[in-house]
Amino acid sequence: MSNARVSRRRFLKNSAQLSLATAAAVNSMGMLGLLGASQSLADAGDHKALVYIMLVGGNDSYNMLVPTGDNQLRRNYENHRGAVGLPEADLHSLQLTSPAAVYTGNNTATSTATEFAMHPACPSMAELFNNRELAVICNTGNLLEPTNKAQFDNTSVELPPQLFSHSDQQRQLQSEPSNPFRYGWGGRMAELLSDYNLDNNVSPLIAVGGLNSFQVTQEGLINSYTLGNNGAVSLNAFFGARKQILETAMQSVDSAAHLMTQKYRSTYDAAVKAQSIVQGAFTQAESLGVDYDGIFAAAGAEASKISTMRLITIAKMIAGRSLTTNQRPVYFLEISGFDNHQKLLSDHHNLMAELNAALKGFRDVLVAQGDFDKVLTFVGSEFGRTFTPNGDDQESGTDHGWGGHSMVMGGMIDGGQLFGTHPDLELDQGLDSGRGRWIPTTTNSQCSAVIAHWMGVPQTELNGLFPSLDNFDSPFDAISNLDFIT
Amino acid sequence: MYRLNQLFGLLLSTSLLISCGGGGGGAAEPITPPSPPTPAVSLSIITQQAYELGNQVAKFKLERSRSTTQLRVNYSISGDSDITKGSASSDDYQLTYSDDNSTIGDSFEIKANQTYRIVEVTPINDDRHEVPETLRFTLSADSAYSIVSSQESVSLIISDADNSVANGKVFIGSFAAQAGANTIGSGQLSFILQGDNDNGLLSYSFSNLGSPQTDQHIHLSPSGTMIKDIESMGNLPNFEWDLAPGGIFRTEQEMLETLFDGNFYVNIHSANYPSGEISAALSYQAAIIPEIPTELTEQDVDQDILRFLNQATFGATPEQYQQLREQITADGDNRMEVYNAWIDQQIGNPQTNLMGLTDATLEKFGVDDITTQKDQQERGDNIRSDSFWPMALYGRDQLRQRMTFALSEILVVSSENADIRNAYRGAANYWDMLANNAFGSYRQTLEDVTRHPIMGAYLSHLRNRKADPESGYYPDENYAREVMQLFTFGLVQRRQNGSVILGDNNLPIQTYDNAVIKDMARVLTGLAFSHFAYKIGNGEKIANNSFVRGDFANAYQYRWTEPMKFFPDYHDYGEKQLFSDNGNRLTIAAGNPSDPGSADSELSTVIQGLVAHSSTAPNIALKLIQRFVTSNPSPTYIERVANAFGVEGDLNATIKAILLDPEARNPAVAGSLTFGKVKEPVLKLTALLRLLQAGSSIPLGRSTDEAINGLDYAQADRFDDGATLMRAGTLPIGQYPLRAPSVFNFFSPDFTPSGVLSRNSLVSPELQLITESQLFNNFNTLHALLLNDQFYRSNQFVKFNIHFSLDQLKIRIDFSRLEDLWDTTEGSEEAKAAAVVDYLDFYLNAGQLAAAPANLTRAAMISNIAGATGQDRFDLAIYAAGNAPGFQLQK
Repeated sequence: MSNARVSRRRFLKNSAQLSLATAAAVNSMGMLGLLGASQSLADAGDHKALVYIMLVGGNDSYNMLVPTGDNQLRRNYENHRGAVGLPEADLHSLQLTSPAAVYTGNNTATSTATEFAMHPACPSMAELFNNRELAVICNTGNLLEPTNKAQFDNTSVELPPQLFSHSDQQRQLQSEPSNPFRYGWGGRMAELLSDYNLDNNVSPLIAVGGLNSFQVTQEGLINSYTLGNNGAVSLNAFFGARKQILETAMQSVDSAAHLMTQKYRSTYDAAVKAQSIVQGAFTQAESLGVDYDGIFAAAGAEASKISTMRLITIAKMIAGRSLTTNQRPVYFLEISGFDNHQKLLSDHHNLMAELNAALKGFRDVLVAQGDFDKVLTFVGSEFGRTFTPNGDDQESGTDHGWGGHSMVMGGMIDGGQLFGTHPDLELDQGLDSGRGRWIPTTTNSQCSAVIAHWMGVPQTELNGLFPSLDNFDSPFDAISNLDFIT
Repeated sequence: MYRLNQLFGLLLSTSLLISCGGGGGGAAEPITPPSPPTPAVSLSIITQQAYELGNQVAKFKLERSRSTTQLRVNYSISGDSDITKGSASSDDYQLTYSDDNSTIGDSFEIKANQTYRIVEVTPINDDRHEVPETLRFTLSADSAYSIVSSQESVSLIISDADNSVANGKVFIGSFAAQAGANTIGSGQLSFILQGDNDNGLLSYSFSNLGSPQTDQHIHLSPSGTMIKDIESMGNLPNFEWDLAPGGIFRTEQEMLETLFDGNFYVNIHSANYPSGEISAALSYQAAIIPEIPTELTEQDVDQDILRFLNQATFGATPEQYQQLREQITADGDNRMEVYNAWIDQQIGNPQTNLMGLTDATLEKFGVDDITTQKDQQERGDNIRSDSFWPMALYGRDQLRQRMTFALSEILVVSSENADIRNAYRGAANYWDMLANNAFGSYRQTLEDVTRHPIMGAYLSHLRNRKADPESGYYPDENYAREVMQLFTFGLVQRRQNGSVILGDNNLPIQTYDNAVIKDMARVLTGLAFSHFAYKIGNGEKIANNSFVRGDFANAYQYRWTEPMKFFPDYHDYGEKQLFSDNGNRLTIAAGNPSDPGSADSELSTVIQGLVAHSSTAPNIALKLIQRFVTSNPSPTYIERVANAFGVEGDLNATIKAILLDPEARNPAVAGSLTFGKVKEPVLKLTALLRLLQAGSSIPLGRSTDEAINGLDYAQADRFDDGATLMRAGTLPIGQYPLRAPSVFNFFSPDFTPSGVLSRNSLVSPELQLITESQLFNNFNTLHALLLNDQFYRSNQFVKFNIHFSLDQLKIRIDFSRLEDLWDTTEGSEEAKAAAVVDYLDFYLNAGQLAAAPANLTRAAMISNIAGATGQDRFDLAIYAAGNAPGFQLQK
């Protein structure tokens, strides 16, 4: 299997060099000839895309996935969540295909639990889970080495710097906690997978909305490309003298220019180069007959929500890919507003409703365009939140925590399961580093490594991508319980 | 063994020296008398001057003529024989021998086999300002030696610093009417004291006396005693003043101390006012360093004026440029004093008021009565956010509003939060609170920020209550964390120059841990609304006695415009262990719930500690320098600004230190590939709109034309003439005052895009906003503005536009300045086009294009504009000036 894949990569690389060397000849052959030639080389099934959804602010994921039933886990939930606890009757129950591992107070043994449900605003997420298209990875967070409460309390292990700080924990989630930030793992992965990404005109790293740490590359030769919420922005009235002045002015910026001006020019160049490719992709996507707006609306996603616009844009980019474009693109988008220090019950409810509709709409358009098995959607956040609230009424919220649940969705996901290890939700013992800030039972890097491997990074290169991975059990060993890709 | 070898080597080399020194290979050794003769000792100077700054040591040599046994030589110490001069005392210096660093006691000692020793006088660096102090060593007679006549003593001088230009100390003053005089006379003064404090150069110029000048003197304040008569008339360039004692003073040191205390003033006497018409005090400006003299061309001076204005305002205008140009000499050597006076003048200009303008505007957009239902009135948040534009474009308090904008990007609140959108008066009041503190202390600013209900809502310490472990809840930690991470000292310990301090493990030292956050959260318990208003229709401000009073925002919003107060039942009065600084932990002792001021004083103590923390000054200094001058300031620049900031956060001194620093004012930065910053979208737009006199047809004040309605705003006189209402709406430029995406602002102070900037370890915060899609949005925004017909808040709100016509509402760029320039420039179309390009380049860009003739942008603009007709010429010029890469930097 892996041999076949490697030889395919070499083949693609060779064909890329060939096509560059003979660019003039190809042009004279005409567009039809180029398409015909490419189609015979590329395997239409060999497209894999990662869509990384970042819930900014620290998602209170212990209200997204909630224990139910007559058991200790549920009793701990009710006892400790106080004013922000969710009544069982409102939740959407999950049918687990296998019992979830639950932390028992020592680091090796686990017990199991089977009764869980999704947030009241997340019926579609429960449905996707029960259809085995979505899985939850329990209590993930940033770690440098396996950590228990005693080690945390007496600081006998190395801890990630600046725990509980938004900016730092976001960077660590999107890169690695072991080093001062230099690059994001999405950006580094694109460098490792550059053999798959042959398009010189548009980056394989596409952000929708704004710049991020996740897509910063190590070598700095690939830069992420930022799309507007509704796709590429086209220039109005940019022709004639205006265009001539601006093009001359841009071209006059060389390596002797101010460094910030150089960056301004390179952003302009990237925008111009990608513009026609992106517009072509959109035109192609819109010709497929998929009713993007209608499907999202049917899923309950409001058209005015930024998450709706961003996911439609990504779906169209995927649908409109040509066989010569990047075959391992990495898309990034943020959904903001999760820092619910107050009004958790109402504000988080709205966010959960938005996420629920967004995932359902995105799933349905991917299915409609035939790409659901090619697109792995990851949903994560910089940290979970304190299990204990900061008030005793409806206005209460929760504070910055540590471990929280992540989710993965796609046709390749072995869904309907809780992976990793769920906390026992006991305060002042076990996994509690204070106020129910759960010490993660799976480090983010283990989870990310499984995804990077699916995208095509060989297992031998994963430790280079995630330097702290060495300190943990292999994510591919059964003990890690991260076998979430079929 | 080792020692023996060493000793052997020493003996060998000594004997070699002796044999060489003998003069001739075969010469016989001189015969010495049997009894040792008396040696003759002498002193001679090697280095006469010692300086405290830089620890520069003075040296002299003690020598003896013969004898090889140990010899003690007695000496005495004296000072200057002129009592007006300074004399060193024993706490000013240390005495050591150069050969073994041993300390010298009551007598000198020449060891066996030594023929001389060198004595080092090391000055002790104290913080006192001292005149040069004489230290005289005189050998005392003794039977063991004789003293060489005329070499029995040496005189050394210990000074604060050498006389290099950078060590000069700058005193600045502004001439204004002396008490009792009725005059419009004014002027500028500077005194640059040289590094050793011995003398300095006094310069001043003045004008507009009401009657002929009769005299000019230096006096002592407050008595008015004359200290020195300056025996000339008129403006004074570089008059050397030696600080010789005058008036009541007997020593130079007394004079110096009085100078630093700010008690000398210069006054100009006139026929009408024989005891003085105008006067100026000499006030010490520690943050200003004298210019290292460079030959500034007139063009250099022009560029510097434009750079200064673009750093300090929302955009340079011809009027502001003219005002400064007229006061600054051709070679620019008085420009620091002029800038300093300009800053003082700005600080004195009355504050424009966002809440007042918002209220006045709201009255005109909806039915007349402010108390009516909200759905008959436009959303207040729209009006609050539009009201920024007239203030930025026309406010006379430009520097105050620039400082407010900068502070709003550090002490961030955002109307992305629904509470803050609804409480638009509260948000406007938050802005005005920052503006009110813009030149005060950061400590007071932070206290006002902490107590402001808008911040309370944004970072959720509003109604934050003490823990109840029984019920299982704990205080909210949001504000507790960010007040340390973002508003004061930051995550890691820093030196005064901003550099990160590493611990024993070579990692940065963290300034706090989660235990500190938990206790800080306890400090911030018990704060809730102090006031509220009765229901719509009443509008009376009422004291609030309910901790849980909710977020409702009516038309008055008194709960949102009054500082929060403590409710004792909800405040945690227990002991708190907070952050530490240099090993000292701030501990708050348990308070007294029955003492009403206990929680207030606890909060004040904590705020004071936060601002005084040693990492706060460099952290805030860096963030402020980035907002005004450059993304990557040097460590010494940060340190100078941090020194000005001090432990209280003196924002007046800080803004002067930022704008008047040699690094900010150095004309050589024009050629730098790294200095400066990318213009923020908001500032890029305000500069363009200010220069092009953009506005609607609705005057802020009462209209002079009866056919046109005005806003009738009572404080319209705080704005430039011609100020208009600007319902600009939400322009897609990616940045909106008081509406950052999160408390981390629009961009991070340490953002570095991958590529050439990150490889050079340089940051460029503003580039975080320049993505591919945003760049094209910026191009399109300018295109839309240039249509000159679509620039107003979008149509859906036109229904509230009852008092004005739609045409009045439209904001238009005024092309007349460019048209006049075109018409009045002689010569070819190219010459006219060049005049237009250079005009935009001059004001928007401090002439960066003109200064780089090889750059193709200017040529491309000129040829295309020359080939265009009518208004297209100016459309092209402005489009290029907004979007071309050569216009994106403020250097």
